[in-house]
Amino acid sequence: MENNRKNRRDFIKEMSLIASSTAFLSSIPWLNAFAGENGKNVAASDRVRLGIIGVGSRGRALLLNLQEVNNVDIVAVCDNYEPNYQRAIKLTNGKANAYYDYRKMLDKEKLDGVVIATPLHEHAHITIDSLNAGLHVFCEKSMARTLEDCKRMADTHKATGKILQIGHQRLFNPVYLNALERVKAGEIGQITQVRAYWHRNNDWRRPVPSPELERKINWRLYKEYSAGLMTELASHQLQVANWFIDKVPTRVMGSGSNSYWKHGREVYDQVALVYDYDNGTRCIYDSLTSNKHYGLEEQIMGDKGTIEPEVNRIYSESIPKAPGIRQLVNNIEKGVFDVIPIGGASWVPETAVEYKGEMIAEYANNDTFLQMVGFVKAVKVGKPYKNLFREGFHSSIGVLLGLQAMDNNEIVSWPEKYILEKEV
Amino acid sequence: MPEQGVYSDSFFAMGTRCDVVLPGVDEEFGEQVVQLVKDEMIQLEKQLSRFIPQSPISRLNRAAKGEWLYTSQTVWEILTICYDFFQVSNGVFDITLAPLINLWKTNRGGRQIPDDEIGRAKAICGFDKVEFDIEKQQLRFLSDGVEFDLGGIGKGFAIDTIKGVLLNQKIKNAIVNLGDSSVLALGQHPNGEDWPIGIRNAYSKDEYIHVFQVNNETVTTSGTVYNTEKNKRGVRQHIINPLSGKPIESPCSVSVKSDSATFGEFLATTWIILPEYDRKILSEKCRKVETLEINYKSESDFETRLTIL
Ligand SMILES: NC(=O)c1ccc[n+]([C@@H]2O[C@H](COP(=O)([O-])OP(=O)(O)OC[C@H]3O[C@@H](n4cnc5c(N)ncnc54)[C@H](O)[C@@H]3O)[C@@H](O)[C@H]2O)c1
Repeated sequence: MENNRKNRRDFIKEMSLIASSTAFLSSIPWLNAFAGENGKNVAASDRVRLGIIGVGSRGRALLLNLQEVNNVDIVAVCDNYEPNYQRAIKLTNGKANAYYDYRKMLDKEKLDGVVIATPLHEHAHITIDSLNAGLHVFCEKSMARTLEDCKRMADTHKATGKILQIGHQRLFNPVYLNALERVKAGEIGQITQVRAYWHRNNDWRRPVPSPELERKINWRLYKEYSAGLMTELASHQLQVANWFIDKVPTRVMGSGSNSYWKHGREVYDQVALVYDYDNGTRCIYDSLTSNKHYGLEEQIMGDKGTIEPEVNRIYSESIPKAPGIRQLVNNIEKGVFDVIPIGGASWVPETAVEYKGEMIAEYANNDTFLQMVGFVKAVKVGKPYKNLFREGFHSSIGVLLGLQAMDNNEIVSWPEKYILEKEV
Repeated sequence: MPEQGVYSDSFFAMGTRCDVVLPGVDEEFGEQVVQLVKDEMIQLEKQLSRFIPQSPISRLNRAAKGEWLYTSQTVWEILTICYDFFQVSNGVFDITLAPLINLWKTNRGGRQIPDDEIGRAKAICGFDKVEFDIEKQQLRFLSDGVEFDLGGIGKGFAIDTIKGVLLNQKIKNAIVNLGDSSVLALGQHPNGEDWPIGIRNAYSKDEYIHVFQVNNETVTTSGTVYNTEKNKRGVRQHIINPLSGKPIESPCSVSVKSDSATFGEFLATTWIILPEYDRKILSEKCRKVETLEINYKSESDFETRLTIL
């Protein structure tokens, strides 16, 4: 833990360093948007007062990360499950006021914002109530269980002008940001396909202390609360695909099934989908729960190269020739007969001897932390980052349309009303 | 001068870059041929790499002493060739020196390695600790801990294999370059009678020390000097004299032009290690071979010797 803390401190330094390089700035509007204003309008001593709603597995992680962010006070915590409620109190050393009911918390506390990490079906109403209470909101992905709820959240965000940031942490990940920068610079050419997958080998089931808690604890397995693999996993990766292709899909087709875990789970245990974009590009997606060999990846493929951000790799389509060979080929083309300079000492090639691509960017696994830094910064300034919410929205809509395609066995077109225009 | 069509492509395999140049070959056929070359190299790597746990060579390396072992045809072939090389060189060419190589690799800081440490590493090395039953195509280790490392010969073996692949495809003229240290020059340059392969000065890359005229032959180089594309240079202690257990430290290289690159790798390495008077036995057994020896006295001064056998 000590080590973690130290690392995190370094990350902050690292962040401010990266954020000050101009190349980086252009691709991460949400980090530099307020770079100037931050110092001007907001006193450094200003502290941000946050409440956390839903301190389960993810909520705990967010809380621990927030405790490492400067100028943040976690003044309230809320959870309606006793063990987690007690744990939240402990985690904050009793400094935060604890609540079972978030509405009481919104009533009583003077907060700048809330962080919501409740199960999916408990995102929409808590988010909307918080926004209407004048608070900024960080809400875990995916946005909501239904399309209408996603839309209502978006509308309330717009109406109140309060921040609504959705927890797709890859949006703050230096590897992804650097990769995006390189895509914009043309390094992998024109992207024509993103192939993404998330494969695991487990059933998602959590142990339940007593039977009546089954649905509360294993909410991911029930359709009423969750869209399964789509909202839990695909959401992150469709966000990446949309972001890199820089478009909203036009339609989706797919098929899902329960092929392995026959244990009363309602959501699919494997899914396969195709998302089409208007320029002929597509995202091919699949997720599996009975084999983890291939793990997870978003393979971003262009005519000049490939990016695999999960493993931090970029590959070129053409491998550079040995300099002597380059010269030889030029000479043959021109009909010139000349010495071929390829023999001699061990001319160690500079490029990796096995072509495993190149690392995209140095990175310590801390994007969840970085996104909290980003949220706190936005709260301080009091304004949402341009186009950040848009990413979370389109991903959340996209996974639910994908579910619809699978459930109804139909090709689903992306409805106009679920498109947010880019802000300029 | 007329413009010439030429197909070329590069890829990575067997821990090195492979460049293939096919004059007069169109793109469609060229792609097919390069794919065949690549497949062949990947197959070889799967057989010969001691870094792939499932490779036949790794399986042998894990085996205990005493039991008779079978291996793949390819591995058997290369091991028996290496054993011949071991014998004709009086033990100088030895593919079981990994413990010594590793010992000296850790010596980057230049520390003196104590004799007893060298002795311990030496004790587990030695191709004479392997027994071959040629009839039954089986082998066994006579002591524990012996490991094969084909790093010094694998690329040459690959070049000889690729030559067969190209000839099968009726390719008459080609250059195949594995990391600049093993080169196949099939046939001739479209504008000449042969392929002029330039051996460069390790300390001045644009300068040739010698040009081999190569036609249907290979050029392989072993040396202690290295130079990267970004011009970082130095001396590597990776050629070990198995008799002393110590690396060759002087900056030098030996390039060999020969029909077979497997043989070329062997000869180049052995030439570096062998003292002058011992080379005779070996050279009596060679035909149609040219060796170029370069000894660097300083960055600007070197001595060369060309021997035609
Ligand atoms: N971004 C990521 O990488 C990531 C990773 C894991 C989970 N998540 C998301 O975080 C959210 C929570 O997932 P989890 O695994 O932590 O679930 P969890 O079941 O472990 O935690 C949810 C917590 O919310 C509490 N809760 C439920 N309803 C509540 C209410 N009305 N008021 C207050 N508390 C309430 C529960 O008691 C529980 O403690 C989900 O939306 C999930 O998709 C995101």
